[in-house]
Amino acid sequence: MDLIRQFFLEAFPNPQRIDCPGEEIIMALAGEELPPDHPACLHVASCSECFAEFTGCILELEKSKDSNIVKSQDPPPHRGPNWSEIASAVGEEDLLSVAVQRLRERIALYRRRREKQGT
Amino acid sequence: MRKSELHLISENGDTVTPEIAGAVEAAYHWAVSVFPSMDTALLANAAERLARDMEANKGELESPRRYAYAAMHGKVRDLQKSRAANESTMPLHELDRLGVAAISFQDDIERSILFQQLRTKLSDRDRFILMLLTELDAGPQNIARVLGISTEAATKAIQRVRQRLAACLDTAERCSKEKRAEISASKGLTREWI
Repeated sequence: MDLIRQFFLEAFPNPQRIDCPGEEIIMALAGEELPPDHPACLHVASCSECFAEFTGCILELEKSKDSNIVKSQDPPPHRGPNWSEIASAVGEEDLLSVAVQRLRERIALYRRRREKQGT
Repeated sequence: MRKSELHLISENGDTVTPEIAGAVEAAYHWAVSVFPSMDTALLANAAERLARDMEANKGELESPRRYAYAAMHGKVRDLQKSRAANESTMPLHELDRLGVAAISFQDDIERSILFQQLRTKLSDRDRFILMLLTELDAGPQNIARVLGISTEAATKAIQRVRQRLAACLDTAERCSKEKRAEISASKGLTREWI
């Protein structure tokens, strides 16, 4: 175990919880949301019980951040099927014919646009 | 770690209230993370007993989360003490063979001196900086923002904390050597044993 962490956890016992801030304040400190002059900042480094809660809050915040990152990595919703979905939905031969058909449609569309621009 | 690793039930076998379950799980994960040398099965047992006790006395709990952290910390201390007690009941030659006695004995002395030094040599502000450095991986800019000072001043403050910390470590090492020598002489133990 980290010696410095052990120091904070053992050296300042305060079982009566004298002058301890509320849980939400310790959570705010772990999230670096407290103003610099907030008294809880110095208290946590002088109270083993609050330090234990503080380290727990950091863990909880890290876990919630990790779960948010995982969620944000999900692909965004899209309207039409993408190529991998088409590939999983149809066989290889069907996939080829679908691809060729799409290419033909695009070429035809392109030609029509060019003809319109020419006239 | 998944929630399913803890089986949190009351004395009657019913699931504990979500507030108590959340508090105990958070405290359990904290203990596993902060005390990696502890047996997780023992910690899980302690957490499950804690949840059972909390559920039985839920009317008296002001803050389940706060109670769970304090109780879990207390249970870890008890487990550490009982482990140390088990070690001390082993014969000295057996401990020597395992290399347990020399290491833990030396560590105990050095650690207690170091903690004493840190308590007296570091101010409240120094300790807060140390806590930010070690727990939040804060750099000079973070510390400057949290303390409301310039980055330059924060850099100097960090430097001073490091110097004091180094001085405490040196003192602890020097004192522990002296104490070890005293104890070994007083007990008539050979230096090899230490």
